[in-house]
Parts: sequence; structure tokens; C-alpha cells
Amino acid sequence: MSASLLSLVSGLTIVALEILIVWRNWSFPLKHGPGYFAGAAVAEGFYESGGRRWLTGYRTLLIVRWLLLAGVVTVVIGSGDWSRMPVIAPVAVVSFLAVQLGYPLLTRYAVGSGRTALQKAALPLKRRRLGEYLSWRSEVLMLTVITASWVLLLTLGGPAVSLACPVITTYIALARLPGQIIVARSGCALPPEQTSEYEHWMEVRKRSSLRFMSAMAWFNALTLASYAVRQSWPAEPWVLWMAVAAIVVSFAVMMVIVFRGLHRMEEAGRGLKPLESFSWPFRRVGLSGRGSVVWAVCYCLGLAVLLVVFRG
Amino acid sequence: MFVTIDSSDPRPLYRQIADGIKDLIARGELSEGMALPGLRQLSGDLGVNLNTIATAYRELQDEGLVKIRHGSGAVVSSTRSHDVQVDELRKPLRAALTRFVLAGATHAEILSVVQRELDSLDSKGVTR
Repeated sequence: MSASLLSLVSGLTIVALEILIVWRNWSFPLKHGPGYFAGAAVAEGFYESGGRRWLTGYRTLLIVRWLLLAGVVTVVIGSGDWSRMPVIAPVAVVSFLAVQLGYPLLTRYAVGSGRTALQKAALPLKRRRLGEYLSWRSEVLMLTVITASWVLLLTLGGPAVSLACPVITTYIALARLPGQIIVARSGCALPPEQTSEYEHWMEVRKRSSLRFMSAMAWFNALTLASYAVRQSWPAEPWVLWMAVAAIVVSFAVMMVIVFRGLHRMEEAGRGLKPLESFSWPFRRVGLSGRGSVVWAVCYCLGLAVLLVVFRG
Repeated sequence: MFVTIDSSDPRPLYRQIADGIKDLIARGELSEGMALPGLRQLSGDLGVNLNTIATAYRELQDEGLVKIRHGSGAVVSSTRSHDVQVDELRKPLRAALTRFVLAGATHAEILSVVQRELDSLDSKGVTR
């Protein structure tokens, strides 16, 4: 199989898997029932008035994201330059964060009809330890893979090596760690009714987010490794196979983790009101605190800067 | 394991937290050696000032129930308060009983409430 055919197959696999994201999240804002939109409580009759427009806007964004990704894959495959394949990684990650996290945040403030004010709140007394949420062995292994890839690129890479892919994938993989630490440490007081159920739901949400972040980092680390190996031994056919397999398999694993996480969160949150619809005297209840928002903004800005710097 | 905070409770926030932890210790849900969350975790979760939690922990430490270790949070050090005089305990009890009387509760009703609370502690096997 030629390199161009392989890149075509891997590109199409990624685009096909992304269709599953569109299908899975098509009705994401409605998952809490007709009284809510993307977790925010909405007024009665919302879906008969402006609600449809918001839902259409969300679904349009989902399709635009998929088209953007498909467009990038088409351009990469059309250019015949397989080494540009890693560009897909940042596009997939940033657009996913923007649609799945940014849009619900925006709508929550724009269409929310007031939160349910809680007079009482339950404060969890379980001490959170980073080691319970992050695997340091996995982090060391990832750092080793990234370091080895850079060593390969700098020693055997040759003059054709472009720094865009290595720098961007390294950034995505490593700069997500502070975000993971913030998420692992985050928490909030819980509603006084069904407290254990809410605690379980929060835990599932947190662990699913952390697993997704790790999978995203591994996807980028393996993309970097495959690029480094490919650049170091360009003539070997097995290298091409291995490199493409690493990218496609890690992407598929990331998708499985996303779907499993979404399923678990839905199971755990069944019958519970969205946490974002509560408010109480001390602070807004919710998992995403100020720290994680600041990190997400800095992370995306850093990525945008790198994409501009390496646009050539 | 949770401490319930009520914004309509006239007690200050730090006292509600300290009382909540004491209640869990008295019920045997928090045993000796168990780790409590750090100041940052609790103040972040509740969205209140660090000093509020620090004051609650200091009160627990003064009673010998908790040992605070810098950098590693707090640990339940004992399930019995030290240096607490019976007279000192009588004051809040009297205040609570007064509120019952003012609320119109009868002698029998008050006794029944006290008995239920004691039974609840007994069921955990923590009273002597």
C-alpha cells in the first residue's frame, strides 16, 4: 500500500469516527429534559420561542466543526504531504473544546432563566489526593516518549524536518497537565438532597474529563512519535505502517474514551438536576471553577499562537 | 461524609463547620487517624475565605479533636474533647432548651427529642 493510500485511509477513518461525535452529541443540550438547555434551567415555552434557534445554532456548530475537520483532512491528503497529518490533532482538540465546553458556557449565561437557590449545602469531607486521579507512571512514560521523539528528530531527522508538528503536539500533550491537576483538585459543595448521588455524578464527571485529557495527550504524543520515526527512517515501509497505525489507533481509543465517559456521565446523572442550575449564598455550584476556565483560555491561546507562528 | 451548611442558621459559618465535624466524630463516622481535607480544598469547595475554615479547624484543635499539620492537612487526633468543663457544655444545652420552651414545646416533647438524639449516638456505639 502506498503512502498516499495509507494517508487517505487514515484520514477517512478519522473523519468517519468524527461523524459519531456529531451523532452522539446531536441532542446534547436536551439531555436533562425540556426544562433545561445545556444544563441551564430555561423558562417554560423556551423551545416554542428562542429555544429552537439556540438548538439549531448548536447543531450548526457541530456540523461546521465536522466540516472543518473534514476540510483539513482533505487539504492534507490533497497536498500529498503525509507529514502534515499531525495538523489534524490540534484542529480536532480545539474545535471539540470550543463546541462542547465553550458553547454550553455561553448559552448558560445567555438563556438561563435563573438558578434554583439553595439555602443548605453539603460539604464533602473526603480529602482529594492527586495520586487518586492522575497516574504519574503514565505521565513519566509520556514524557519519555516525547523526549525520545525529539532526540530522534534532532539526531536522525534530517533537513526535511518541520518543527510545526513536533512543537504543537508536544505543547498539546504537556500543557494539558496543569489543567488536569486543576480539574483533579476541583470540587464544590453539593445539594443537600440526594447528596451521595450528586457526589457520585461529580466524581464520574471529573474522572471522565481526566481520562479524556489523558487520551488527548497520548494521541498527540503518539502522533509526535510516529512523525519522528517516519522522519528518521523515511525509506522503511514498516515505519509508515507503524506510524499510521499509531495515529489511527490512538485516535480511536480517544473516541472510545469520549463515548464511554459520556455514557457514564448520563448514567450517573439520571434523575438529577444539572448542577449548573443551582445557586446558593456562598458560591455557584459547579465543577468548572475559575482556575480551570483560566487554564482553558491560556491553553487555547497558546495553541492559537503556535498555529499562527507555524502557519507556513 | 458531609457537613451540612445552612445559610439561615444563626451560627457563624466556621461554627457550623466545626460543629458538623464534631457531630461526625461523636457519631463515630470520623475515627481517630482519619484525614480531613486541607484548608484550601474546603474553602474552595464552599467558596468562602480560607480564614473561615482555619478558624473552624483551630477550634477543633483547641478541643484536642484535630491535629493540624502544615502542608498535609488535618487529622482526627482524638474522639474525645480535652479540657472541656461540664459547666461549659451546660451553656449551649441551656440555650437550646430555652429555645425549645420559647417555641412552645412541652416537657415531654423536649425529653423525647433529647432521648432520640442520645439513642442516635448510642446506635453508633460511641457513648459511654
